[in-house]
Amino acid sequence: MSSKLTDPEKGESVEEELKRFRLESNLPSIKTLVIVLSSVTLVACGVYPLVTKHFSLWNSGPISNAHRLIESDCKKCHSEPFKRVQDKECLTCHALSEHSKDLASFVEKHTDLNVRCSTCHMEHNGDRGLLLKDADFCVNCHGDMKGLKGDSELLSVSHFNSHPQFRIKVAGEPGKTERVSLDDQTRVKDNTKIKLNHSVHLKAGLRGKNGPVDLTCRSCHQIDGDFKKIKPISFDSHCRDCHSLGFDERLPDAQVPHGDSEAVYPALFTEYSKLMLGGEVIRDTSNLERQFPSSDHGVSIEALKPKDLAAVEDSARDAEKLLFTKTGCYLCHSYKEKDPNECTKTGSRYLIDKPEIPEVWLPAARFSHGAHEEFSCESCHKNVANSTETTDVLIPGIALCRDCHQQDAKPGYVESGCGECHSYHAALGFPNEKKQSISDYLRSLTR
Amino acid sequence: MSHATFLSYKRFRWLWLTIAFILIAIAVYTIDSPPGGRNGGTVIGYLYGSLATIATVWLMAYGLRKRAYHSNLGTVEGWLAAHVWIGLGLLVLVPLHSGFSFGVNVHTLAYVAMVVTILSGIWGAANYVTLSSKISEHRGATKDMALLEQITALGQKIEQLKINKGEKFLALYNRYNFDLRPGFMTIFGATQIPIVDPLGASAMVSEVPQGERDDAIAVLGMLDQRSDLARTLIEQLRIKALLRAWLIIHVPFSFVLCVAMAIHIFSVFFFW
Repeated sequence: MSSKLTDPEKGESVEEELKRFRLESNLPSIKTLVIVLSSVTLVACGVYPLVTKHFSLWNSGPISNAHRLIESDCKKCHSEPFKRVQDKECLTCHALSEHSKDLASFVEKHTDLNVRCSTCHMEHNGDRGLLLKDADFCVNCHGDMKGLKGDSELLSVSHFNSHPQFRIKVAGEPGKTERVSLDDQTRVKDNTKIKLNHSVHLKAGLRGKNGPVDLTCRSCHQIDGDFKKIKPISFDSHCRDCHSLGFDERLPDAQVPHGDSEAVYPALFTEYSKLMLGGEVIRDTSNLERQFPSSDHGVSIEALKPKDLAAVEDSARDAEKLLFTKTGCYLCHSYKEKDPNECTKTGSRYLIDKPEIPEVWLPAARFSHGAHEEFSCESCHKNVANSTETTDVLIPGIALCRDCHQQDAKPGYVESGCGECHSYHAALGFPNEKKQSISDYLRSLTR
Repeated sequence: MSHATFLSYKRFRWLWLTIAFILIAIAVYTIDSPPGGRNGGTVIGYLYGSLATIATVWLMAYGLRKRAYHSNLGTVEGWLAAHVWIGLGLLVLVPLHSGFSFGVNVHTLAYVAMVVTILSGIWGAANYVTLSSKISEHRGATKDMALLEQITALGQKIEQLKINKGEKFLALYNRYNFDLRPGFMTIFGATQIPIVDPLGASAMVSEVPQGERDDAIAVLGMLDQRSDLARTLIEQLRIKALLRAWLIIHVPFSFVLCVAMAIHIFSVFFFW
């Protein structure tokens, strides 16, 4: 056992033995370790990716799901090394919408902002994805609109809590509109040229086509198929059942057409000519010969007495006047009487004012009625049942939104950045000439 | 230079400076709310990354300064104090740079190598603080080589005395003899060095036949002395090993860190 101990007289052997206790004799030297470990790192993480083009070790973060298809093809976006991703690379696959084009011209004037697609659409950002929800991003510029663009009609917004009250367009100076805040009670008016009394329509037991009816909001305001918009009001779908456009008890099935006031008088003339001229239809009294070239139809021009024709015209004109100024049309529409010089013998003498019912009150925002289906209409549109005037604007203000939506994550609230209601730019159709076949595309991918 | 003062150099000047800087860095990081979230590519991300790069290069330069005996560029003691505290500061600054995003990639490898380097540095500093006083206890005591020579000489005398001895003598020998196997496992406790306990030893000696008893007492004395010497030697070698062991991690991983960091910087701008 002790044979391993060396002769004490051989000092050298003892010294060598002592060395064998030291770390340096048992482990690779620091220099060797430096060279080996550094080389391994350099080769594995530097040379290997460059040579094999497998750059996953260089990936700075998880790629968005939308771009996973091209994940292994770095060059699809990074076309030039040491150069930031350029818009042209995005535009190889994506189309620009109008808003972005506006921005492009805007950016030219504000080169200091250096706005690129990837300023907003950041990649390698994992779950955050490509669509940034950060309000900060928008309010960077929108926080000071006057400073950004002095003549902008947009108001500055720096936070959802201080977002200006919603503003709707109302008629301003002739031919112009202006935006008025919902808080401005005296000026906020629905300028739709329709006479509508919500209160009356929501009374129980209204006289319907087939007996009493109880209308609800949904009877007229129906959600569109995509569950986002409310369908526009249509006379045929929502009004005609109760509001018939009949005009003469002798013609119980006859109604004038809706939608084109120019078509009303010809329709009346036709109906009265059927009634008063033995069932024959005369559409145009100015050219009777062309309509009745022979006696084949059993009625000859000679058979038509001028006084009969005059009676038809008189009846039609009387009915027209009644419809436009007292009953039918007048119930809902305002009208203008045409200058007698402009009237033709066969044309309408009245002109209905275009109703111009706004489809959405706040076109710059996006509100999904479908997403709010579980709430009763009146919980947001509060005074509808008491509203008697068309001019009443019945949409809620922003305070109501804030009851459920807050910009910052907060328990009990929906976290809502600007993008919750606003889009920066809409997606546009991809140009046909740039489209390619899916198999060609897949072949071009590195996977 | 007293061994603990490299940490407390100039009343912990570098510790306070580092703490102050890190607190400011954390405050700025918290206030900053860049669109798309905090990451290495934001203004603050680039700023902290640049600072961390400069700091790393400077920390590496300590290896050069340490060897530049004729340099007047600050004292080595000051450099070491700054090296320790600034190095520890990087442990916080670098995650702030990346916005605490980590992954299986060269970027995180650079951070991991940095953490290994810093942890081994902490280990090394702790060893210096706790063990250097023990080295001074042995200062002036028998040198390692003399110790080993004595152990060897005693061993040979013991071997000669045990020749032609009876069973009880050999039992005593086997109980207290040990094989001092050269190798670094021995100094980290792989070999048990028996201690001669007076009670047990005298009991065993009393069983040795009368004729061998004087030799048995002599052998026991030598075994006791050899055991003491061996434990002293092992303790000294262990301390010296610990004062070097951390460097075997610290230095190679600092180079791995530098290589990974260089690739990190290259790659993020290659795919900017």
